[in-house]
Amino acid sequence: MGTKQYTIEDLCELTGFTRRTIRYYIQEGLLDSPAGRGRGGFYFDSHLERLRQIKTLQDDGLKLSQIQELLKVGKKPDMAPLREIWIRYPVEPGIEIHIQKELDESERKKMAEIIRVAKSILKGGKNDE
Amino acid sequence: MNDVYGLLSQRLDPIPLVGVKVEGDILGRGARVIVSQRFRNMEKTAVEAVYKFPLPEGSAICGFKARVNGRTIQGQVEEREKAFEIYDDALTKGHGGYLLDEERPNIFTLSVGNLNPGAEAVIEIEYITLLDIEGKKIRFFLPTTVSPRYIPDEMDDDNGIPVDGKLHPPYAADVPYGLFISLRIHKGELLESVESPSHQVKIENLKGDPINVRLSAESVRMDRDFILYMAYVDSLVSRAYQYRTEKESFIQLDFLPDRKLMDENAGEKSVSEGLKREIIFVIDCSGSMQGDSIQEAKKALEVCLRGLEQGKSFNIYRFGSGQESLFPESTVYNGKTANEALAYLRRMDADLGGTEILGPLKDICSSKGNNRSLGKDIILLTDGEVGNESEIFKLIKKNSGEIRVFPVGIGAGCNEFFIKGLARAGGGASEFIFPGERIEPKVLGLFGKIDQEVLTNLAVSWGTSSVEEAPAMPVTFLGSPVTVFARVTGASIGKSTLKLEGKVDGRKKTWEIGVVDVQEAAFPIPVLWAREKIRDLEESSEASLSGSRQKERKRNQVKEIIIEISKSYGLLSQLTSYVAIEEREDRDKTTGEVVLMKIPALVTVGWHGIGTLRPHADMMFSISSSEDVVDIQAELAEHTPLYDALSARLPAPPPRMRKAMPKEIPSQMSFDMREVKTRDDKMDLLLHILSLQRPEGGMMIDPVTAGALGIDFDEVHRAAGQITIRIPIHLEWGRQIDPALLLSTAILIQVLASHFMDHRDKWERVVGKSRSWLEEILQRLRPKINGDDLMRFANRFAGRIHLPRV
Repeated sequence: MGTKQYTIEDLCELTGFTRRTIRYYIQEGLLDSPAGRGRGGFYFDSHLERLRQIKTLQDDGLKLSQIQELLKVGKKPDMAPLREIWIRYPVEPGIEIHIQKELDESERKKMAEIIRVAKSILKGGKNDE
Repeated sequence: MNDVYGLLSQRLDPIPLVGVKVEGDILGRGARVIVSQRFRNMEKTAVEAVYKFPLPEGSAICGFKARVNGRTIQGQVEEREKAFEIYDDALTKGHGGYLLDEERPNIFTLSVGNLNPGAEAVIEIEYITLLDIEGKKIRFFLPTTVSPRYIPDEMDDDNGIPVDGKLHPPYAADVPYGLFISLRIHKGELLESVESPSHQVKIENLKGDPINVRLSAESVRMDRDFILYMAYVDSLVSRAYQYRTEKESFIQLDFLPDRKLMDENAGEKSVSEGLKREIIFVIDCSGSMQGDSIQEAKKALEVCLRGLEQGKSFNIYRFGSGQESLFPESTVYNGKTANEALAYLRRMDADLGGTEILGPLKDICSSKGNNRSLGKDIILLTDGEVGNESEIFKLIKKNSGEIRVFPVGIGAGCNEFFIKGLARAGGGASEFIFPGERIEPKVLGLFGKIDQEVLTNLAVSWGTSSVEEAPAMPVTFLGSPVTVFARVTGASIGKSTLKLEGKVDGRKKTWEIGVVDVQEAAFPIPVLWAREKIRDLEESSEASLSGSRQKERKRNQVKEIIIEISKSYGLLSQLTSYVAIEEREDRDKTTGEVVLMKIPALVTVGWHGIGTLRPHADMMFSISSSEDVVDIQAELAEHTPLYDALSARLPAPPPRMRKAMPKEIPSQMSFDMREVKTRDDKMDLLLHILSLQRPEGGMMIDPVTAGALGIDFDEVHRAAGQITIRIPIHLEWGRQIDPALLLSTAILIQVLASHFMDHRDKWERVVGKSRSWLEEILQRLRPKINGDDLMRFANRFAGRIHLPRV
């Protein structure tokens, strides 16, 4: 996989969060644990994006408890509209798959696979393993 | 209340904290304490244990060690985030890491990282502190748990971490670990008594040195503060101690401004007559006060209300999520309003939810008050269980010209930092009432401070300009000790006395205090100076500046100074942490999964009405009970003109004085002694006498007092019937006076003056109201008994009373 890898120091530098705060977010389940064993593992763009997302929400004046709620439920509160870009993939007439831009970029291969599998299912499962 | 129980986990996982041991050495006011926390990992995987616990807010934490596998690893102070990184790096590499963070001056987080299966670690935290002084008593205090703090919705996260997560441990109904305490009191030959209102203690080697004090039980529940009072024969003396190093010297100045100054100024009080400070009582009726605490607060408020001076403006606020006040604005205290207040008090309960202290305080600060007001004194009765301390301090500081705050900490585990910090911010003084402790002397002591002329503009002539004092501007009350530390750079002060200057009631006063050189001090003055300095900086207005870039810069400068002092004196602060790393050989390194275990804690007993110390409390003496409230108006009507105008002779009053008193001594008053034998008996009697004071002034002898003093009731009555007056101009006015009350008051004041001189600080201000009431009558009516001056008669009467000298 050609995905970029980050250490926790990199994340601190790129997001402005302290290491203590990042560890806290992992503890609280706001951020996925790093890949690999224990504390020393690596982080990916998805981690970076998550932290940036949290930062943006904090800059909008949200507290962590609200952010936690928001990220769990997956919808925005009325007060803080966020700009989001979604990529549309028409699969069959009448069916589209929408993927958030950041996710589409960071997990391009996986997303392409999802679309491929979805297409094959809808075509009658000819390529289905 | 049930939903509160729902918060408490009933699970008893094998948690890795085994027990806590506290050992301390006490010498006079100084205490050096080592808190040892023993951890053992009984899991099959490695753990990271995180334990949140309290320490006294004024403690200078100057040592942090981890004992692991026969090794001792010394901790060092680093800037807070850097310390975390060092810890985190060590854990990442499989080493052992130990980290101590300060979340509030009285709340700490200990992280014990990479504790392998079966491994043990003992963490030793050392602190030194100066203990509080209450009269001749020194108070050792140790909190044991952090009760849930109320955090207002609008309070911001701290560095992206919720305040709740920083301050609170998880709570459990029961925990497998407990506490043991053992203290050594050195040079205790002048010690009169040692007692604990909170725990059963064993005292050994009472005649020797050191005296050993330890908990009777091997392990006690960590759900209440530990308090130990050491009563000394003498109170603290004013003295300065100098500790010299090559480049600088450090001074500890203990100063006790004499109460006599009050007497000197007493005659001039009339200057400010008419212009008075208002007094506002603020009662915390939030949920956490349910149970014991609200009862204690109500008792304390009642004692206050009874002691209030006629004509003083007052009001009562109570608050929780919302707030209300007794009167729309401050109202003059008289018989009628006093009864309204007492009735309001009787109905009061802790039923107002959250702890929005800012609400009533903002209200009080912004309300104009009447134009005859010289400012406001706030007595706040609370457990202080809030997380937004500094925001509240900020508000109070902003209004410090107008208001003073005198907080009273209620309960078995109140927030000491909040109570003391608020008094510091609000130019007042604080008191703490543990459930079952005598409320009266504490509240009356506070009252004494509120009423006295303050000592202002206190300045020390150090004789050099390169001095850093801490605290920079301590609030000073006559009769209460204050300690100032100083760092003098360059040479030592080179003087054998220090001159202090200040103003009492506008008049300049000076004091000379002797300087003693100390070598290796038992309690290092430099560290104590550094602790005070850090606190001064942390609580300064600069530390909370925000907004413009300039303000940010100023704030950052203060932060840098704090970090610098903290690191160079090896002292914990809110901006620094202690970190210790245990480097491990490859074979001992932690590999694989590490489970995070947050150590659960107990909530304070009595918090939110969970548990109680009441049975214990009921055994203590208490004068306050809502039933013994007298309706003054009704009573006066019943006793009207006893005065015979023509003969200017007062006719005999009703045969029994009982009629003039509350019908019965309420059952809550367990005070029924006939004989005064011990010091405590005598104190009980004193407090009881003080409780006889009526809102308009005057104190009527009751059967209990008569019994204890060996006074013949009928004799008092007969004598009262003999009172004559000389000046008929005040005849109408004289009709209002109950002769028995007049004589009673005169006798009791003489009794206090001749038998309770050693407790003068307790009663002097309190009976001030009765004294002025009495003096006015003496002046206007010149009463005599069988031709003898009333006061002389009362004095002779009091002289016949025998109380043992205890």
